[in-house]
Amino acid sequence: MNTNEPVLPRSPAPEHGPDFWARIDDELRKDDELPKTEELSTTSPGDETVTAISSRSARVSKRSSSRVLAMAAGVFVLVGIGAFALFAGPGDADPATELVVESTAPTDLGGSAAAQVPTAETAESVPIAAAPAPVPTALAVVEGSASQGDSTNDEADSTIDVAIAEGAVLATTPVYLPSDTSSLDAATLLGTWTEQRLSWFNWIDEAESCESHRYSEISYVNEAGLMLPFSDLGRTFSGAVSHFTPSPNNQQVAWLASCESQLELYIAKLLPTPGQVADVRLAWVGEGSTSVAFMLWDGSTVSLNTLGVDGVPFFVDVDVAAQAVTDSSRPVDPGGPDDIGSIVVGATSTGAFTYWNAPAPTPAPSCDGTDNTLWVRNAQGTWLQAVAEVPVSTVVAFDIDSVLSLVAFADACDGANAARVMVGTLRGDGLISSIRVIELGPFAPGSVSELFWVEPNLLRIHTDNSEFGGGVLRYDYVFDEGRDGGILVQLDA
Amino acid sequence: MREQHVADESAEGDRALAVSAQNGDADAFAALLHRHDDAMRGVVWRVAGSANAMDDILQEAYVKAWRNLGGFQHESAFSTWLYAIVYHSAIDWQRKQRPMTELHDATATASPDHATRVVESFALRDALAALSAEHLCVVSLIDGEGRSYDDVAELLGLSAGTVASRLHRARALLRSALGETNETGDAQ
Repeated sequence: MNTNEPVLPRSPAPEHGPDFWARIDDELRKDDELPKTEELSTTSPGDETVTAISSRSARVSKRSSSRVLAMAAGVFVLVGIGAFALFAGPGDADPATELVVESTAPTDLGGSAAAQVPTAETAESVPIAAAPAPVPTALAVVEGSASQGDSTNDEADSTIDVAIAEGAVLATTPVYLPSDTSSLDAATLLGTWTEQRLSWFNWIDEAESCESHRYSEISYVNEAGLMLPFSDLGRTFSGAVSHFTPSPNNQQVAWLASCESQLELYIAKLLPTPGQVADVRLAWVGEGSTSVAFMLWDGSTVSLNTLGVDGVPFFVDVDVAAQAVTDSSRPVDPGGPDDIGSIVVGATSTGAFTYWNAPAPTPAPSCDGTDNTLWVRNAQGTWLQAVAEVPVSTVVAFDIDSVLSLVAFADACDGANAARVMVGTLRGDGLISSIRVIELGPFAPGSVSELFWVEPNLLRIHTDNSEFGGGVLRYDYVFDEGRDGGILVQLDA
Repeated sequence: MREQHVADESAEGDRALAVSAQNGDADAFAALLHRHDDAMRGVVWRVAGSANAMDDILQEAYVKAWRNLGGFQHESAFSTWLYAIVYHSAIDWQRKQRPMTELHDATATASPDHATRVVESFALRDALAALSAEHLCVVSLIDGEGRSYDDVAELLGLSAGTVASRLHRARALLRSALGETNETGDAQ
């Protein structure tokens, strides 16, 4: 059978019922006043004003113990600094650690304000769809600037010097909701880019386990209520996304994807196109708590601070400019490679295996002029060369399909091998076998910069063509059954 | 005077109509809807499966588009903007539907030929329902409605390559789903 033959029989849609257009006309005439563009610029089409606190935030709060909350709140008071001048959202500071001030009194957002500091128990998060009235005002409290108060506002309270931390969740921060608000049932607000009039959301597929790399995706909603992909369609994550922290100065954004105690720290380039990102990179994998975690940018470095599973605080600094990671919790493994590439290449969704670039124990032919090859580290700290069947140089793109245990990766090569992708099978010991090399060279002139599984038989590949004066070109490689062949479809002109 | 609006079929015509509609001209908006209704029906029909449901979904989507027209920034084609609203309305409707009636209920009293046709029709509908929205739209418009790749690319705001890729994938998924159904039926 010709696989290009239509399966669906030609069957044009039926005409409308006899009164369809009359009903439409009635509806159009019913609305005397059309919403003006200016009115829509600060609210969603659904005319809902809500605080930027998410339903996932509520779940996180319930999991958190009061001890941890109190500890985290203390950390936040001491830090009290955000680097997110343009952004506001729960991703900036975990809501379980927010100091939320509820006040019905008018609030001077420019300086002092009537405020009360809640206890950990009163720092409740609110689901998106349940907008309280009046809308709570959230203020971050500078160290020593406020005392524990009761539930009433009085004159004395109004004189307390309360500063708004950059990135604090304000009632005045709009949330741009999709036209179809029912889709928010499975969504979590990640943050709002006020200047660009958009909000990012994380959508979770509850039918999937968080270990599945198809568990969640990120989209943004613009002021027209349209939901748009923040990256390529099909780019999904294993775990729920939180701590979405953009840095406009660096044109970068960082976020966590977490599944149980497994944390993955991602970094991507924030594109001039509002709301979209490119060059999504896994920068760090480890274990820790999301409920007490916070992230902030300092120059070109993003810092993650949280508690490990043993309750010991640790930090991870990722310097985007230098491509360097400082991980205060990273163990030193005896017998491991001497010089591990700073940025993790990839990881299984359970964290059982992480993949790294490091020098091969025995220098082997390498197409990028280095001695690097791909290593796998298991949870016990044992290191092995991940691929034995073919020489592998420094890996630049890597993704695992956790459902079928398929691994796709690309290494840095020059010339004819610049755009080659390898696909293999993930074994129980973390090694990658049954390698098949896909040469894209004749069709894709650039070098592979990013790849990920869209579906079990569909691999999305980005190539960087800057050396030819071009930009990023995207391709879909669609595997035939049996994976012996496939077709390459160029997505960009 | 809707007839005046229908004269100019170009994208520029869409833009002029959209501007008029944003200024409150309901006739201009209705003219835009008439222009693009064929394509929108093509998308929704495959999701809804009945003419009544198709009309309900489109009525809700069109009214929603009218009420949100102030937010249309002319950064995309009007058809792309409208499609996004229609698409979300259709998917929302699909999510709210109960599981379909079991096949044996529908075929219990039918003649053998009729039963075969019903089973085939239900199998196709099941296979279509299992497609992702992106695949469903592309295969519905190109195979079901006979539209060109370029038309669909413009409507959906995609490149023709993406449309081709999705169509290929959608056909493969449909073929696989229908093959599995037949095998299951044969086995029984």
